[in-house]
Amino acid sequence: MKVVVISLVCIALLSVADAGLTGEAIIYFNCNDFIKVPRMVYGDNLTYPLDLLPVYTENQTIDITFEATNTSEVSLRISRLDASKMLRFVENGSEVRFEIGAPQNLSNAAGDLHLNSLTSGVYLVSVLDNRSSIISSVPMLVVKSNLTLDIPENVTAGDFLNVGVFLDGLGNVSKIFGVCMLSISDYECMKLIPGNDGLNVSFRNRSASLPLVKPSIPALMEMLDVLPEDGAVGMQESNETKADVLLMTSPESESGTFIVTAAVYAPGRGLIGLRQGRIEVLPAAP
Amino acid sequence: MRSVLLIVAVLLLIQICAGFEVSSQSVRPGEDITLSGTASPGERVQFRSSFSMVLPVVNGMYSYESTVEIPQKPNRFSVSVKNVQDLNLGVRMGIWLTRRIEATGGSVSLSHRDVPPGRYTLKIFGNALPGASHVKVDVTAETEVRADQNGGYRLAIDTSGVPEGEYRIESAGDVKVVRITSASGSRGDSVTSEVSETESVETVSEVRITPEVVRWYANMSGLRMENTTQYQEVEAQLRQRLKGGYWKIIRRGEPLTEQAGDCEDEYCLVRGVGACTSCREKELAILRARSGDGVKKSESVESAAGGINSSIESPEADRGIVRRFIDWLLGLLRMVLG
Repeated sequence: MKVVVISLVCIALLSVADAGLTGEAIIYFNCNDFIKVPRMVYGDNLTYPLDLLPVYTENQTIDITFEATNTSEVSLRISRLDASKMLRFVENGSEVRFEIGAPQNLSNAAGDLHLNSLTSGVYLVSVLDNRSSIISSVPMLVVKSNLTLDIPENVTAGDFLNVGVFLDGLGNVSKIFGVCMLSISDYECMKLIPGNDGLNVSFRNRSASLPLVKPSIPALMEMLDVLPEDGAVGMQESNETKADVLLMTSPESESGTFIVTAAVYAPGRGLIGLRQGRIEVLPAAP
Repeated sequence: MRSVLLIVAVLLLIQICAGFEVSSQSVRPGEDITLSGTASPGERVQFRSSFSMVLPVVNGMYSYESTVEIPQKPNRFSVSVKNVQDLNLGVRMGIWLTRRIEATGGSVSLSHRDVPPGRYTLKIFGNALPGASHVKVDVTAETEVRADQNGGYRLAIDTSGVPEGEYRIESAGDVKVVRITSASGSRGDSVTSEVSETESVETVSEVRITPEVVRWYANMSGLRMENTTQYQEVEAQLRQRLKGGYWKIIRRGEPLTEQAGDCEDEYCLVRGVGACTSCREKELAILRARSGDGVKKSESVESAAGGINSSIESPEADRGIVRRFIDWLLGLLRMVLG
């Protein structure tokens, strides 16, 4: 099954009113791809809308439509995301300002934005009111190349899963193809909780702290223990533009829909491509 | 003065050449082997252990799974696989981590040092070269122990995952060979080491245990053999049945020992020289029961588990699957976080 190209409507509903933000805004991304990420939680009852992350490629036109309520004039700005500042933002709400370019002022409470291209990285798209207060912010990911996945429609628990990963370009360069497979139910149980030093990754009764500024191997080792046992991770190094990455599923895996996330990373070049697909895991034969 | 120096030198040589002792020349799979000896106080004594195994090729693929015990650091593990197109290494650390390496010239050699200690489930699998019936795997593990203030040292080696056969241990030029074998005499291992395969040939004498024979036995016994795991279970059952000489396999046309005429099938399972009538009747009853509808897995393998004390990695980067995975994650994080 080739991954279906989905025209994504990524909705960012403001849910950070307690953090000092006003109004409400909805941001629509017309993009070819998105990835589902665990929910980020901060404060007592506050969640950050990270469920769906739009993914563009460098040479892709970025179309964004937004609407705001409770305000007559808004502006939109796009900034490269600085993780440490984002964490402070999450902690302190609107008191922290991002290092951003000049906002595009719009006279209406709704509008469209077209960008020819952005270099790869993580960006934050923010809607601001006429007092330059952030109404809503949504992360957005830009990768270098388009990635295509070849995934079977289903796999029996305990069997191998062969994921074909195809990259547009960047041949003859050392790359690492990585694929992760997690069930949707596990995704829903997983939480990312920002802290002073990084993210706390929480899954059911397990958790581990992942430092974002200086991530360390021991910290990542701890994180591996947190990941659900039903899941699987595979990787392969290759200079080619394609790779078959084998995943091992557990015979004890719960049947149901699993999310397959593929990422290609090139040392010195960063994240090259990112793509998500889905697969049904069938129960193992008795 | 010269004589004193000579005596010191001789004493040093004696100490260096003192070698080491092993707790037993023969242990059951999974049991510990204790190495002990004497060295200089505080000296680090290095040990290198190794074994080989031959994995059957089923539907073009080979596979081996076991629980492994990784000892304390420093350690180094190496795996060499021949007759393959690729090698996939899976380590279960809660979640399954898998890494695939393509072979060069039909071989893959990997080495990894300072594997985080702990107990893991490890799986080796991949595609064999076209036409290959077996894949040879060589495993080497290195670790060290520090002598105490009196110069004594002891090191326990967990043999989980080591298949039955010869387990070779080296230190400072001294070599000991420990035999890994089931005390009951049954062959429950799913993997055939080079030595044990030779033995099985001697035991069976007429017919070697090849994938073709295992397939025949599965059909005859009504056993499922649709994947590598099932193949290994069937092979283990067959080896267990043949162990001790109660039963043997003969080829088509060879005279039956207990039935009239010659063997008319591709192979026939007949009573061997060492069988007694009551044992044979009992075995026949079991065989008839198995060839019916039910096959109990618990009958199959007494010690299919076993671990290779290893974790593995690419020599060029000198990092293991876990480490490489984490490096990959770190790279992503650095890129994402700037």
